[in-house]
Amino acid sequence: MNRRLVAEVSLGELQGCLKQSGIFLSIPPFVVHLRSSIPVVAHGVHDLYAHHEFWLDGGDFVDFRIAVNPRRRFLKPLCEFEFDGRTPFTPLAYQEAFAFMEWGLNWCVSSHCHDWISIHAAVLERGGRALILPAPPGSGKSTLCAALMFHGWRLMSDEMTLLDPQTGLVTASPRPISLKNASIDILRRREPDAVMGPIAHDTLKGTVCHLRATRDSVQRAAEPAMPAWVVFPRYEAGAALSLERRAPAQGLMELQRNSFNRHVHGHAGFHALADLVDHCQIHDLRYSQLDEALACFGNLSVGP
Amino acid sequence: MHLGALSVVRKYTLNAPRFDFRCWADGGVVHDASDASLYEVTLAAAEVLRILREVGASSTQEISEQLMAGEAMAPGDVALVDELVQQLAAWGAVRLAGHESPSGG
Repeated sequence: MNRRLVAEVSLGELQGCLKQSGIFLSIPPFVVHLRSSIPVVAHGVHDLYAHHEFWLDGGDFVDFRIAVNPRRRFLKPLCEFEFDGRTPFTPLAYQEAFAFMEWGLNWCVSSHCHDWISIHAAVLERGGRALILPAPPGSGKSTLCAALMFHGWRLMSDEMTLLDPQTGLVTASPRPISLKNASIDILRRREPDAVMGPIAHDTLKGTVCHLRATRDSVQRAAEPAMPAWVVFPRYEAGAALSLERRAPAQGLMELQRNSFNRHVHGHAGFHALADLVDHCQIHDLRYSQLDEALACFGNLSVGP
Repeated sequence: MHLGALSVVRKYTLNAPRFDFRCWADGGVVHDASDASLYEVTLAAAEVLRILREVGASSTQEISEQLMAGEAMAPGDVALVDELVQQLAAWGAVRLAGHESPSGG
Protein backbone atom coordinates (compact mmCIF):
# COMPACT_ATOMS: atom_id res chain seq x y z
CA MET A 1 0.00 0.00 0.00
CA ASN A 2 1.62 3.22 -1.17
CA ARG A 3 0.51 5.97 1.21
CA ARG A 4 0.93 9.58 0.15
CA LEU A 5 -0.21 12.90 1.45
CA VAL A 6 -2.99 14.42 -0.62
CA ALA A 7 -0.77 17.51 -0.97
CA GLU A 8 1.80 15.40 -2.84
CA VAL A 9 -0.41 14.89 -5.89
CA SER A 10 -1.75 17.38 -8.39
CA LEU A 11 -5.39 18.28 -8.51
CA GLY A 12 -5.64 16.65 -11.91
CA GLU A 13 -4.21 13.35 -10.70
CA LEU A 14 -6.49 13.34 -7.66
CA GLN A 15 -9.49 14.16 -9.81
CA GLY A 16 -8.67 11.22 -12.07
CA CYS A 17 -8.32 8.83 -9.15
CA LEU A 18 -11.57 9.97 -7.55
CA LYS A 19 -13.39 9.59 -10.83
CA GLN A 20 -12.14 6.09 -11.61
CA SER A 21 -11.81 3.60 -8.75
CA GLY A 22 -11.76 6.18 -5.95
CA ILE A 23 -9.23 6.72 -3.17
CA PHE A 24 -8.74 5.34 0.31
CA LEU A 25 -8.53 8.40 2.53
CA SER A 26 -7.18 8.20 6.07
CA ILE A 27 -9.34 10.37 8.34
CA PRO A 28 -8.14 9.09 11.70
CA PRO A 29 -9.37 6.98 13.31
CA PHE A 30 -11.27 5.98 10.16
CA VAL A 31 -10.46 4.86 6.64
CA VAL A 32 -12.88 6.14 4.04
CA HIS A 33 -13.14 4.96 0.47
CA LEU A 34 -14.28 7.95 -1.59
CA ARG A 35 -15.33 8.13 -5.19
CA SER A 36 -16.68 11.12 -7.12
CA SER A 37 -16.61 12.54 -10.60
CA ILE A 38 -17.72 15.98 -9.43
CA PRO A 39 -14.91 18.54 -9.76
CA VAL A 40 -15.85 20.50 -6.63
CA VAL A 41 -15.35 17.35 -4.54
CA ALA A 42 -11.85 16.89 -5.97
CA HIS A 43 -11.08 20.56 -5.30
CA GLY A 44 -12.33 20.31 -1.74
CA VAL A 45 -10.40 17.14 -0.97
CA HIS A 46 -7.24 18.48 -2.61
CA ASP A 47 -7.34 21.77 -0.67
CA LEU A 48 -8.79 20.70 2.64
CA TYR A 49 -7.38 17.20 3.14
CA ALA A 50 -3.88 18.18 1.98
CA HIS A 51 -2.29 16.91 5.22
CA HIS A 52 -4.20 13.61 5.24
CA GLU A 53 -2.84 10.40 3.76
CA PHE A 54 -4.46 8.49 0.95
CA TRP A 55 -3.71 5.40 -1.12
CA LEU A 56 -5.15 3.65 -4.12
CA ASP A 57 -4.47 -0.02 -3.85
CA GLY A 58 -6.91 -1.79 -1.63
CA GLY A 59 -6.14 -2.31 2.00
CA ASP A 60 -7.75 -4.68 4.41
CA PHE A 61 -10.51 -2.63 5.87
CA VAL A 62 -12.63 0.40 5.12
CA ASP A 63 -14.90 1.99 7.69
CA PHE A 64 -17.06 3.82 5.17
CA ARG A 65 -17.42 3.38 1.45
CA ILE A 66 -18.93 6.60 0.12
CA ALA A 67 -19.46 8.41 -3.16
CA VAL A 68 -20.91 11.72 -4.24
CA ASN A 69 -22.44 11.32 -7.67
CA PRO A 70 -24.06 13.69 -10.15
CA ARG A 71 -27.78 13.11 -10.44
CA ARG A 72 -29.03 15.56 -13.09
CA ARG A 73 -26.42 17.11 -15.28
CA PHE A 74 -28.15 19.90 -17.20
CA LEU A 75 -31.34 21.33 -15.72
CA LYS A 76 -31.11 22.15 -12.03
CA PRO A 77 -28.21 19.73 -11.57
CA LEU A 78 -28.16 17.71 -8.39
CA CYS A 79 -25.79 15.41 -6.55
CA GLU A 80 -26.44 12.47 -4.28
CA PHE A 81 -24.52 10.92 -1.41
CA GLU A 82 -23.97 7.19 -1.60
CA PHE A 83 -23.04 5.02 1.36
CA ASP A 84 -22.34 1.34 0.82
CA GLY A 85 -24.35 1.47 -2.39
CA ARG A 86 -27.35 3.12 -0.74
CA THR A 87 -28.50 6.74 -1.06
CA PRO A 88 -29.82 7.64 2.38
CA PHE A 89 -30.47 11.33 1.68
CA THR A 90 -32.49 13.49 -0.67
CA PRO A 91 -30.20 14.84 -3.42
CA LEU A 92 -28.79 18.35 -3.00
CA ALA A 93 -27.75 21.05 -5.45
CA TYR A 94 -24.70 20.08 -7.51
CA GLN A 95 -22.58 22.94 -6.13
CA GLU A 96 -23.07 21.56 -2.58
CA ALA A 97 -21.32 18.30 -3.44
CA PHE A 98 -18.27 18.81 -1.20
CA ALA A 99 -20.38 20.03 1.73
CA PHE A 100 -22.68 17.05 1.12
CA MET A 101 -19.68 14.73 1.42
CA GLU A 102 -18.76 16.33 4.76
CA TRP A 103 -22.30 16.15 6.11
CA GLY A 104 -22.63 12.58 4.89
CA LEU A 105 -19.43 11.64 6.66
CA ASN A 106 -20.73 13.18 9.88
CA TRP A 107 -23.79 10.99 9.53
CA CYS A 108 -21.65 7.90 8.88
CA VAL A 109 -19.73 8.47 12.11
CA SER A 110 -22.68 9.42 14.31
CA SER A 111 -24.87 6.58 13.04
CA HIS A 112 -22.41 3.72 12.82
CA CYS A 113 -19.48 4.18 15.22
CA HIS A 114 -20.54 2.92 18.60
CA ASP A 115 -17.08 2.13 19.96
CA TRP A 116 -17.26 5.72 21.16
CA ILE A 117 -19.95 7.87 22.65
CA SER A 118 -20.31 10.56 20.02
CA ILE A 119 -21.28 14.04 21.14
CA HIS A 120 -22.23 16.89 18.82
CA ALA A 121 -19.43 19.15 19.99
CA ALA A 122 -16.17 20.65 18.84
CA VAL A 123 -13.13 19.45 20.75
CA LEU A 124 -9.63 20.89 20.98
CA GLU A 125 -6.55 20.03 23.00
CA ARG A 126 -3.87 21.98 24.78
CA GLY A 127 -1.27 20.59 27.16
CA GLY A 128 -2.79 17.13 26.93
CA ARG A 129 -6.19 18.34 28.13
CA ALA A 130 -9.30 18.48 25.99
CA LEU A 131 -11.78 21.33 25.75
CA ILE A 132 -15.25 20.24 24.65
CA LEU A 133 -17.61 22.80 23.09
CA PRO A 134 -21.12 21.42 22.67
CA ALA A 135 -23.52 23.89 21.16
CA PRO A 136 -26.55 24.18 18.92
CA PRO A 137 -26.22 25.75 15.44
CA GLY A 138 -25.82 29.51 15.55
CA SER A 139 -23.99 29.57 18.86
CA GLY A 140 -20.65 30.38 17.25
CA LYS A 141 -19.11 26.98 18.01
CA SER A 142 -17.28 26.53 14.71
CA THR A 143 -16.05 30.14 14.62
CA LEU A 144 -14.65 29.73 18.11
CA CYS A 145 -13.21 26.34 17.23
CA ALA A 146 -11.42 27.71 14.15
CA ALA A 147 -10.06 30.72 16.04
CA LEU A 148 -8.81 28.48 18.87
CA MET A 149 -7.10 26.22 16.33
CA PHE A 150 -5.07 29.22 15.17
CA HIS A 151 -4.27 30.23 18.75
CA GLY A 152 -2.35 27.33 20.16
CA TRP A 153 -5.06 24.70 20.42
CA ARG A 154 -4.93 21.43 18.50
CA LEU A 155 -8.09 20.64 16.58
CA MET A 156 -9.42 17.21 17.48
CA SER A 157 -12.78 17.71 15.77
CA ASP A 158 -15.07 20.55 14.84
CA GLU A 159 -18.22 18.49 14.78
CA MET A 160 -17.96 15.31 16.81
CA THR A 161 -16.41 14.53 20.17
CA LEU A 162 -15.59 10.82 20.29
CA LEU A 163 -15.49 9.75 23.93
CA ASP A 164 -14.03 6.32 24.70
CA PRO A 165 -16.33 4.94 27.43
CA GLN A 166 -13.60 2.57 28.67
CA THR A 167 -10.78 5.07 29.15
CA GLY A 168 -12.61 8.41 29.36
CA LEU A 169 -10.24 9.76 26.71
CA VAL A 170 -11.30 11.68 23.63
CA THR A 171 -10.18 10.32 20.25
CA ALA A 172 -9.22 12.89 17.63
CA SER A 173 -10.74 12.94 14.16
CA PRO A 174 -9.46 16.15 12.57
CA ARG A 175 -11.35 17.20 9.46
CA PRO A 176 -12.16 20.53 7.82
CA ILE A 177 -14.09 22.99 9.98
CA SER A 178 -17.51 23.92 8.67
CA LEU A 179 -17.99 27.69 8.62
CA LYS A 180 -21.31 29.33 7.90
CA ASN A 181 -22.45 32.75 6.79
CA ALA A 182 -20.75 35.66 8.61
CA SER A 183 -18.12 33.42 10.21
CA ILE A 184 -16.57 32.82 6.76
CA ASP A 185 -15.55 36.47 6.39
CA ILE A 186 -14.62 36.78 10.05
CA LEU A 187 -12.10 33.95 9.73
CA ARG A 188 -10.89 35.12 6.34
CA ARG A 189 -10.08 38.54 7.81
CA ARG A 190 -8.45 37.13 10.93
CA GLU A 191 -6.48 34.37 9.24
CA PRO A 192 -5.67 35.46 5.69
CA ASP A 193 -3.38 32.44 5.21
CA ALA A 194 -6.02 29.92 6.21
CA VAL A 195 -7.02 27.56 3.40
CA MET A 196 -10.71 27.57 2.66
CA GLY A 197 -12.52 25.29 0.27
CA PRO A 198 -15.39 25.72 -2.17
CA ILE A 199 -18.21 28.01 -1.06
CA ALA A 200 -21.72 26.60 -1.30
CA HIS A 201 -24.44 29.26 -1.39
CA ASP A 202 -28.12 28.92 -0.52
CA THR A 203 -27.79 25.63 1.32
CA LEU A 204 -30.17 24.68 4.11
CA LYS A 205 -27.57 26.14 6.47
CA GLY A 206 -27.03 29.30 4.41
CA THR A 207 -23.62 29.93 2.85
CA VAL A 208 -21.19 27.19 3.82
CA CYS A 209 -17.43 26.95 3.44
CA HIS A 210 -14.92 24.56 4.98
CA LEU A 211 -11.57 25.46 6.50
CA ARG A 212 -8.50 23.21 6.44
CA ALA A 213 -7.30 21.75 9.74
CA THR A 214 -3.73 22.70 10.67
CA ARG A 215 -0.94 20.30 9.79
CA ASP A 216 -0.15 19.81 13.48
CA SER A 217 -3.75 18.77 14.19
CA VAL A 218 -3.68 16.12 11.49
CA GLN A 219 -0.19 14.85 12.29
CA ARG A 220 -1.09 14.40 15.96
CA ALA A 221 -4.44 12.76 15.31
CA ALA A 222 -3.34 9.55 17.02
CA GLU A 223 -2.92 11.36 20.37
CA PRO A 224 -6.01 11.11 22.56
CA ALA A 225 -6.65 13.63 25.33
CA MET A 226 -8.31 13.64 28.73
CA PRO A 227 -11.29 16.02 28.89
CA ALA A 228 -10.71 18.92 31.29
CA TRP A 229 -13.31 21.51 30.31
CA VAL A 230 -16.82 21.47 28.93
CA VAL A 231 -17.87 24.94 27.80
CA PHE A 232 -21.28 25.71 26.32
CA PRO A 233 -20.63 28.78 24.15
CA ARG A 234 -23.25 31.29 23.09
CA TYR A 235 -22.53 34.17 20.76
CA GLU A 236 -24.71 37.17 21.51
CA ALA A 237 -24.18 40.45 19.66
CA GLY A 238 -23.11 43.19 22.06
CA ALA A 239 -22.94 40.91 25.09
CA ALA A 240 -20.25 41.40 27.69
CA LEU A 241 -18.06 38.35 28.18
CA SER A 242 -19.28 36.08 30.96
CA LEU A 243 -18.09 32.68 32.06
CA GLU A 244 -20.26 30.98 34.64
CA ARG A 245 -19.97 27.61 36.27
CA ARG A 246 -22.70 25.15 35.45
CA ALA A 247 -23.87 22.55 37.99
CA PRO A 248 -22.67 19.02 37.12
CA ALA A 249 -26.16 17.53 36.94
CA GLN A 250 -27.26 20.23 34.50
CA GLY A 251 -24.03 19.79 32.55
CA LEU A 252 -24.70 16.08 32.22
CA MET A 253 -28.27 16.67 31.04
CA GLU A 254 -27.04 19.09 28.39
CA LEU A 255 -24.27 16.75 27.27
CA GLN A 256 -26.68 13.87 26.83
CA ARG A 257 -28.95 16.11 24.74
CA ASN A 258 -25.97 16.59 22.43
CA SER A 259 -25.02 12.92 22.34
CA PHE A 260 -25.92 10.91 19.25
CA ASN A 261 -25.58 7.43 20.67
CA ARG A 262 -25.27 7.51 24.44
CA HIS A 263 -28.41 5.35 24.62
CA VAL A 264 -26.64 2.54 22.78
CA HIS A 265 -24.21 2.11 25.70
CA GLY A 266 -26.81 1.64 28.45
CA HIS A 267 -25.67 2.34 32.03
CA ALA A 268 -22.03 2.31 30.88
CA GLY A 269 -22.74 5.24 28.54
CA PHE A 270 -24.53 7.10 31.31
CA HIS A 271 -21.60 6.61 33.70
CA ALA A 272 -19.07 7.56 31.01
CA LEU A 273 -20.80 10.93 30.59
CA ALA A 274 -21.13 11.31 34.37
CA ASP A 275 -17.39 10.58 34.73
CA LEU A 276 -16.71 13.20 32.09
CA VAL A 277 -18.69 15.70 34.15
CA ASP A 278 -16.76 14.66 37.27
CA HIS A 279 -13.40 15.26 35.61
CA CYS A 280 -14.24 18.56 33.93
CA GLN A 281 -14.87 22.15 34.81
CA ILE A 282 -18.22 22.99 33.25
CA HIS A 283 -19.04 26.51 32.15
CA ASP A 284 -21.47 28.60 30.16
CA LEU A 285 -19.69 31.17 28.02
CA ARG A 286 -21.48 34.19 26.61
CA TYR A 287 -19.47 36.38 24.28
CA SER A 288 -19.61 38.90 21.46
CA GLN A 289 -15.90 39.60 20.90
CA LEU A 290 -13.84 36.70 19.61
CA ASP A 291 -10.59 38.06 21.07
CA GLU A 292 -12.13 38.27 24.53
CA ALA A 293 -13.33 34.70 24.22
CA LEU A 294 -9.88 33.53 23.10
CA ALA A 295 -8.27 35.26 26.07
CA CYS A 296 -10.79 33.61 28.35
CA PHE A 297 -9.90 30.14 27.00
CA GLY A 298 -6.22 31.03 27.35
CA ASN A 299 -6.77 31.74 31.04
CA LEU A 300 -8.72 28.53 31.47
CA SER A 301 -5.92 26.48 29.96
CA VAL A 302 -3.26 27.79 32.35
CA GLY A 303 -5.44 27.17 35.40
CA PRO A 304 -5.62 23.97 37.45
CA MET B 1 -50.33 14.11 54.81
CA HIS B 2 -51.49 11.39 57.20
CA LEU B 3 -49.22 8.40 57.41
CA GLY B 4 -50.67 5.06 58.30
CA ALA B 5 -48.48 2.64 60.25
CA LEU B 6 -48.17 0.42 57.17
CA SER B 7 -46.67 3.23 55.10
CA VAL B 8 -43.87 3.77 57.59
CA VAL B 9 -42.89 0.11 58.02
CA ARG B 10 -43.06 -1.03 54.39
CA LYS B 11 -39.60 -1.40 52.99
CA TYR B 12 -38.47 0.06 49.71
CA THR B 13 -35.54 -0.73 47.51
CA LEU B 14 -33.84 0.78 44.48
CA ASN B 15 -35.29 -0.64 41.28
CA ALA B 16 -31.97 -1.96 40.01
CA PRO B 17 -30.66 -2.85 37.55
CA ARG B 18 -33.18 -0.88 35.51
CA PHE B 19 -32.40 2.40 37.27
CA ASP B 20 -28.99 3.82 38.07
CA PHE B 21 -28.01 7.29 39.19
CA ARG B 22 -25.22 9.70 40.06
CA CYS B 23 -25.30 12.46 42.64
CA TRP B 24 -23.42 15.70 43.11
CA ALA B 25 -23.49 18.38 45.77
CA ASP B 26 -26.43 20.12 44.13
CA GLY B 27 -28.53 17.30 42.75
CA GLY B 28 -28.46 14.12 40.78
CA VAL B 29 -29.29 12.44 37.50
CA VAL B 30 -31.15 9.14 37.17
CA HIS B 31 -30.78 6.82 34.19
CA ASP B 32 -33.63 4.54 33.20
CA ALA B 33 -32.12 1.74 31.12
CA SER B 34 -35.53 0.64 29.83
CA ASP B 35 -35.62 3.56 27.39
CA ALA B 36 -32.22 5.22 28.02
CA SER B 37 -33.88 8.34 29.42
CA LEU B 38 -32.19 10.65 31.92
CA TYR B 39 -33.92 12.65 34.64
CA GLU B 40 -32.48 15.42 36.74
CA VAL B 41 -33.56 15.01 40.38
CA THR B 42 -33.30 17.12 43.51
CA LEU B 43 -30.56 16.59 46.03
CA ALA B 44 -33.09 15.02 48.45
CA ALA B 45 -34.28 12.50 45.85
CA ALA B 46 -30.71 11.63 44.90
CA GLU B 47 -29.90 11.12 48.57
CA VAL B 48 -32.88 8.80 49.05
CA LEU B 49 -31.67 6.70 46.12
CA ARG B 50 -28.14 6.67 47.53
CA ILE B 51 -29.41 5.46 50.91
CA LEU B 52 -31.42 2.68 49.30
CA ARG B 53 -28.42 1.55 47.29
CA GLU B 54 -25.94 1.67 50.18
CA VAL B 55 -28.14 0.57 53.07
CA GLY B 56 -30.47 -1.72 51.15
CA ALA B 57 -34.19 -2.18 51.71
CA SER B 58 -35.43 0.52 54.08
CA SER B 59 -38.69 1.90 55.39
CA THR B 60 -39.62 5.54 55.07
CA GLN B 61 -38.83 5.93 58.77
CA GLU B 62 -35.37 4.41 58.30
CA ILE B 63 -34.67 6.50 55.20
CA SER B 64 -35.67 9.62 57.14
CA GLU B 65 -33.32 8.73 59.98
CA GLN B 66 -30.46 8.19 57.54
CA LEU B 67 -31.28 11.35 55.69
CA MET B 68 -31.37 13.43 58.85
CA ALA B 69 -28.39 11.73 60.49
CA GLY B 70 -26.90 14.06 63.06
CA GLU B 71 -29.73 16.56 62.73
CA ALA B 72 -32.88 16.97 64.76
CA MET B 73 -35.94 15.51 63.07
CA ALA B 74 -38.93 17.83 62.94
CA PRO B 75 -42.58 16.76 62.93
CA GLY B 76 -43.60 16.13 59.37
CA ASP B 77 -40.12 15.13 58.13
CA VAL B 78 -41.07 11.48 57.75
CA ALA B 79 -44.21 12.47 55.86
CA LEU B 80 -42.14 14.56 53.46
CA VAL B 81 -39.75 11.68 52.87
CA ASP B 82 -42.66 9.31 52.41
CA GLU B 83 -44.14 11.64 49.80
CA LEU B 84 -40.81 11.70 47.98
CA VAL B 85 -40.49 7.91 48.13
CA GLN B 86 -44.05 7.52 46.81
CA GLN B 87 -43.18 9.80 43.88
CA LEU B 88 -40.06 7.77 43.14
CA ALA B 89 -42.10 4.57 43.44
CA ALA B 90 -44.81 5.88 41.11
CA TRP B 91 -42.10 6.72 38.61
CA GLY B 92 -40.52 3.28 39.04
CA ALA B 93 -37.10 4.21 40.39
CA VAL B 94 -37.87 2.52 43.72
CA ARG B 95 -40.17 -0.37 44.49
CA LEU B 96 -41.46 -2.27 47.47
CA ALA B 97 -38.86 -4.75 48.66
CA GLY B 98 -39.70 -8.30 47.65
CA HIS B 99 -41.78 -7.19 44.67
CA GLU B 100 -39.27 -7.73 41.89
CA SER B 101 -40.69 -7.98 38.40
CA PRO B 102 -39.25 -10.63 36.06
CA SER B 103 -37.64 -7.95 33.89
CA GLY B 104 -36.27 -6.01 36.81
CA GLY B 105 -38.58 -3.18 35.81
